[in-house]
Amino acid sequence: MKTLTVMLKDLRLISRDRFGLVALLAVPIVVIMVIAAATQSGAGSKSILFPIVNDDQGPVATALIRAFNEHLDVREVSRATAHHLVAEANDAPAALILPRELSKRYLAQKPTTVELLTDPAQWQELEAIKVVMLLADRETASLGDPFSQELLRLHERNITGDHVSFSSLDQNIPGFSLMFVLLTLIFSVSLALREEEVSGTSRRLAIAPLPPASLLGGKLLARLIVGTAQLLLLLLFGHFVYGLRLGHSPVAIIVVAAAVVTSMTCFAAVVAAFVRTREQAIPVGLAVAFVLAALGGLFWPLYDLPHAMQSVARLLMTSWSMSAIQDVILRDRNIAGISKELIVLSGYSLAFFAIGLQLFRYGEKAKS
Amino acid sequence: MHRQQLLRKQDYEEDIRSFNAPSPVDNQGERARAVLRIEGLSKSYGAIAAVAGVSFDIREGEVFGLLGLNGAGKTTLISMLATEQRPSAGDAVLLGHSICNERRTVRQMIGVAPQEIALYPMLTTAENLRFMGRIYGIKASELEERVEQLLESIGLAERRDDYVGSLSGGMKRRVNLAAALVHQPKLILLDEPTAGVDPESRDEILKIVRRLRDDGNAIVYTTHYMEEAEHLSDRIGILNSGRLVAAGTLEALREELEFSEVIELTGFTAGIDLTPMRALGQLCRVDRDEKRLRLLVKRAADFLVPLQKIISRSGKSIQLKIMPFSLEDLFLHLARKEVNG
Repeated sequence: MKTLTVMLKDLRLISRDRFGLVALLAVPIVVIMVIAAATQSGAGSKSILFPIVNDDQGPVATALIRAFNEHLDVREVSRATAHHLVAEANDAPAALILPRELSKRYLAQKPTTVELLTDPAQWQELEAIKVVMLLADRETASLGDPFSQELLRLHERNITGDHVSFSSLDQNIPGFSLMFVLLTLIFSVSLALREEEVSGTSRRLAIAPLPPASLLGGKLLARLIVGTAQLLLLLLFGHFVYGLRLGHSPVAIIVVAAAVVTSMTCFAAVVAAFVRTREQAIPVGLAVAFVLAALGGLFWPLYDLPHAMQSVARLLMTSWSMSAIQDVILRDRNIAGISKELIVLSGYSLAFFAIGLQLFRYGEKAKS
Repeated sequence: MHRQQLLRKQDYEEDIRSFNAPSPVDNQGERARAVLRIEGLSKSYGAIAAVAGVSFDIREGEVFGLLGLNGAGKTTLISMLATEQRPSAGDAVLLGHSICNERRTVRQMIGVAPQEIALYPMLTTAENLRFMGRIYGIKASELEERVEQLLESIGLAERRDDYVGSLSGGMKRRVNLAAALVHQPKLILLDEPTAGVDPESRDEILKIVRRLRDDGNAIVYTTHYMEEAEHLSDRIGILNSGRLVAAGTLEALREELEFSEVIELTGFTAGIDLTPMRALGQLCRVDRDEKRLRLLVKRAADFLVPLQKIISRSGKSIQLKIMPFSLEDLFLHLARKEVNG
């Protein structure tokens, strides 16, 4: 009977936390929907951009391009554009150069070398292109299966760094590290602000002669230092235990880690404003971190997502964070090489801090 | 209804007459200067007025006891004075600085010990004080000395390196008070600083408050303990439903009333006939319950002879006690007066 009484009291308390009840179902549903959309409804290889430089303009080149076009987003471009798309914009994982007189030499049964310019940092998309090239064998069978008869030799050249190949660890270690740092930041900022209210210190600080920006800024700065150290240590762990590359510039990796964690910390301040109790921090933190990780390409490459979600992903801080880290560790870029990402992440940081400050409530205001 | 309102207003005005009651004097016998001047301070939440047009001032070297039932508006008033909430109307001026327009300056000059313990349990006693000192911009060279001085004064110098979370409730209260004093504020707001502490810690806290007063600090002190307020406060303000219904020294407030002493009869008081006493024409008020009978009178001595006769005539065992009209009596009297209109 007493057990029943306790149970009824707890059920009553649970039923009064409406946000918690909604989060109970809504959070997993949102996460499931995002993951389902990413893993089942992806645009697949058709969304992979594959620039081709057609210097041949003959029947063999035309047949190959038609075959690739069945599976990839093929664009005939100039050499300069191909180089830009692969090496600078990183929009394409590889570009194929079909040399002059390819058709003539092929029809004369003479072997020709075609060049594949690659960005191994996009290793998953690159693997997909190589699979498509095998499929193209069948499509071009009428021309005598050019690759298998070695009439066409493939020369692969990395134009973004020193290494030709990467493994799934190069995606997973930075991806999961970023996800856990984001999760930790959302939890720690939310709980730290609630803790100040519980211990009563928020009221004391609210009436102290220091502006809210200093108060919130100070709290976030502490988390920023811890978060940056956490991310760098996780990457170092990946380096020493699994051989994860860290790029050529230690300064760049530190700067990029700080920029990424700054944007995440400021974002955590915005999320924390909506977390009213300690109990809400867990579902909210998990939901936000999982959705941003899934959409931002921390779990899998963005080309796995449907087109609409890829567009959304390009607006997310997580996708810019992942891109900045990959630029440094996989493409060996220095600070100048990631200036665009750094500017975008700084913009996110400023915007999130401004919003967080607007939503920031301390002392009596926090109770109302 | 209109008449009732008029009567209430009249009562209020009578009670507030003591607003300009004598203030404490300094060592030279001169009136101390006002540190805080509160003028028509109000705070409303929608249609509900938590504080309604409160005015009074607080002087150097004075403890101003702010009393009121729960929900009377004490905490809201303190919260406005501490610049935590903005007043809906009115203002308070601290040494020439408005709490509405010069919040930053005022904050630097005010020390607040909130009702709840507002400390970091995982920081040591000294670390908590040092943190507050830095927030208030105390120079590093002065801070260490100030912290040591405070730890000595609250009797916790030996616990300086202990986590606050490991201290007893009374010790935490003392550190909570010290945290409000690190920056040597001009006005100290103490919101029920002895709530829920053991008698020893309460004694310590009261000693600290007296010392602060003797050092010339202006202190606003809220409490539910009437005896504490009576012994500690130089002047008293009583809040009821957001309004200041009385303010002044206890003596001045007593003088305002038509009675100043209480004759308390305990024992077999049921059925005692007080008609002969009423005939004296001086009896002011009679409060009666099952166990006792209280006569509120101007001068108890005037009633002793007729009372003796009444008691002898009743033939019952009745004990008689004469006491001054206490602050608690005053407080309950004013609260009841407000309720009854």
